[in-house]
Amino acid sequence: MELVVRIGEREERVVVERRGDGGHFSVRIGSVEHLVESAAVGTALRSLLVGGRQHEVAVYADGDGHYRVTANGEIQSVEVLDPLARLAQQGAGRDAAGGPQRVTAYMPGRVVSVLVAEGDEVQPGQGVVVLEAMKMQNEIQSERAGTVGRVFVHPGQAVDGGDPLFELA
Amino acid sequence: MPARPIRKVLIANRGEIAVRVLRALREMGIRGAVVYSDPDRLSLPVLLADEAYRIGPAPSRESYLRGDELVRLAREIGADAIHPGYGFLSENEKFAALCRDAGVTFIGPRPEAIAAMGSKVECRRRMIDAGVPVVPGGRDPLPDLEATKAFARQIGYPVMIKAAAGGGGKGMRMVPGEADLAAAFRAARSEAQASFGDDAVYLEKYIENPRHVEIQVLGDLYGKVVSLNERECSIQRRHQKVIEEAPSPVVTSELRRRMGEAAVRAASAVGYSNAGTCEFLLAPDGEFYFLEMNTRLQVEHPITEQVTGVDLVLAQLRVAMGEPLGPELEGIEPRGHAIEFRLYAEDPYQKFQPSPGRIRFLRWPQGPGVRVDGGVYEGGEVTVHYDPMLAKLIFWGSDRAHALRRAARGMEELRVEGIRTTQPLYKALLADPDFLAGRFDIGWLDRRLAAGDLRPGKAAGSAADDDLAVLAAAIEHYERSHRRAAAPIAHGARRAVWRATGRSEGLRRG
Repeated sequence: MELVVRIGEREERVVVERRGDGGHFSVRIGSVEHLVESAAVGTALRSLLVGGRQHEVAVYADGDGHYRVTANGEIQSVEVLDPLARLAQQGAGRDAAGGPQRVTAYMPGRVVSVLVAEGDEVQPGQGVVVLEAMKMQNEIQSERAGTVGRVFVHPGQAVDGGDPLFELA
Repeated sequence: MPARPIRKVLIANRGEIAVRVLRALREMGIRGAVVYSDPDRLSLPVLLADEAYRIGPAPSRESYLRGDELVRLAREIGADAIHPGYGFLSENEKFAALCRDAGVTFIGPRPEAIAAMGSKVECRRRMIDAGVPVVPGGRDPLPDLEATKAFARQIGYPVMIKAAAGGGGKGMRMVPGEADLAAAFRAARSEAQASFGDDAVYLEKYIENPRHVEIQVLGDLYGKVVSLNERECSIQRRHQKVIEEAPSPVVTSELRRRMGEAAVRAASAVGYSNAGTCEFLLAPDGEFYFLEMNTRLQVEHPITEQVTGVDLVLAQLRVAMGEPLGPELEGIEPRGHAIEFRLYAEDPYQKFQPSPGRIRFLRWPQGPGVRVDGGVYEGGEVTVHYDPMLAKLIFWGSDRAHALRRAARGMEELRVEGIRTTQPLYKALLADPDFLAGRFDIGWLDRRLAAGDLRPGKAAGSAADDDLAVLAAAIEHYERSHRRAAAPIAHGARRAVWRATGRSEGLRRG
C-alpha cells in the first residue's frame, strides 16, 4: 500500500506491506525500509517492535487520515493520504497562497489529456489535466476561479513526482 | 483501650485523599464511609468504601462543602468521627466546631487552633511571642524617611516597602540598599496614595530566592508536639507545589533540629493537636522564616511517611482516639530519600490546560521504592469539576540520587492514555542538571517554564521520533483500510477526501 505521510513540515512517501499472517510489516519511509512487528495492547496502545526495539505508542484516529500518535510522552500529528488524494489536494489548490500557483504531480504517472489551454479562464471544479497514476485516471480540477498560466505537460507525457503540471493565476 | 474509640469514620472529601484515608481505616479495622457528588458516583473512593452516600450535585458548595449536612449524615449513619482530608472543610474552624458540638470527633486540631493560625495578624503576633522567626518587618506605618532608614538598618537590606492598604503588587518597592531608599520610599508612597488613597507604607525584609521548606508536626491531646522533620517544596508553579522531597537537599541535621524546634514552638503556642505543617521560607544564607501553618494533613505527607516510617493517617486516628504520642516519635532522623510528583490531568505544554476525559489505558509504575497514592482507575472519567490531580507518584531511594533514578525509571513505566498529564514535564525535569543537583528556589520552575525550557526530552521533530510516529500512523492506516475493505458496505459517514475524482470512477483498469 502506497501512502503519503505528513508530519510537521516533512512529507514522505511510505510503502506499507504486510509480511505473513501476523503483525509483521515492511514499512518503507522514502528509501529506508523498517521491519516492524505490531501488536495491540488493549484498545488504546500498540507495541511496535522496530528491528527488535520496543516502542509503546498510542494512535488516535481523528478521521480523514488524521492521526495523533503519542510516544515517549510526546504527541505528534500525522496525516496519512493516499497518493491520489495528495495529488487531488494539490489540484484543488490547497497550497494556494496568492500569486500564480504551480500545481505539481506528486507521484509518477502519465498525462492522459490536457483539458485547457494557456490563458483560459477556469471555474471552480473545472477539470484541467487528467493524470493516470496507480492504474487510475484522475482529473485535476481547479478549486477556484482563475486563469490558466503556463501548461507544462502534453498528453502522453510521463511525469515524475514533483514535476509541474500547470500554473493557475 | 483508647479514651474515645472510633468504629466508623465519615470521610468528607474525594479523590486520592479519600482513598488514602480509607486505606488507613481498613488497616485499623475501622469502617469507612464516603460521600460523593453526582459526577463522583463511580469514583475510586466510592468503589473502595464500606459505605457511600450521595451528598449533592457537582458544585463543591452544594456537595463537599455542606458542613451541616456532613455532620447530620455522620450522626445518622453512626460515624464517630469525620476525617476532612485536605482542602474543602479541612481548615474551616466553624466546621470543626460544628462537629464538636454534635459530638462527632473532628480528626484534626481544635477549632481554636485552626482559627489562631488562620488569622494573619493574630498568628504573626503569637509566633513572635513564641520566639518563632518571622519575616522581619512591621505592619506599623512608617512616618517619614528617617524612621524608615533606621528601621531598614535594623532589619537589614534588601528590604521591601509595601503599601499598608495595598495588594496586588501596587505600592511595592524592593530596595537593595540604603542609596536607593529615599527614591523608593517616595515612589511607594505616591503610588500607594494614587492606588489606595492612603500613602501609609511599611517595611519588610526582602528574602531573595528563598526555598520553601516545611516541617511536619504531630501533637496529641495532652500538649505534646513532635517534629517529623522537613519537606522541601520549592518546585512550584504559580505558588502551587508540584514536586516535594524529603529530606531537603540543603538542610543539615543542625538546621533540621532548629527548624523542628521552631515548628514545635509554633504549634504549641496555639495548643495544636493532630497532624499539621509549619511552612518556612529558607533563605540562601540559612536563615528561615515562618510563613504559616497548615492545620491539616498535607497533600505531600507520604514523603514524610516514607523517610520516617510513621503512618501519618494512622497517627491522626490514634491521636483523635486520645492516645498519647509515644517516645518512639521523638528525634527521628530521615532514612533515605523520598520524592513525590503530583500527576495532574493538565497539558504542561498548553499552558497547563485541564485535560478531562476517560482514562483509556493506565499503567502505574511499580516495583522497588515506588508508592502510588491515586484516586483514579483505567476506564474511569476525569471530570472538570474538581482539582485535576490524578495521583501522587512517590519514589524512595537510599539517597537522593537513588530516589531520582527510581523516579526516572518509574516515569518510563507510567502510561496514561485518553487524557494528557504532566508526565512529560517530569521526564524533562528528571533530565535537568539543576533539578538533579537540587539547585532551585520557589521561583525556579516558573522561570524555566517562562523561558520555554523543560520540553520533552528528545527534541521535537527529531528524525527518529518522527519516523516512529510515521510508522505507527502508517500501520494504523493500513489496518483500518483493510478492515474497511473486509467489511461488506462502508458507512457513508466517511468524509470524502477526494476533490478530483471526476473520472476515476469506472475508469479503473485491470
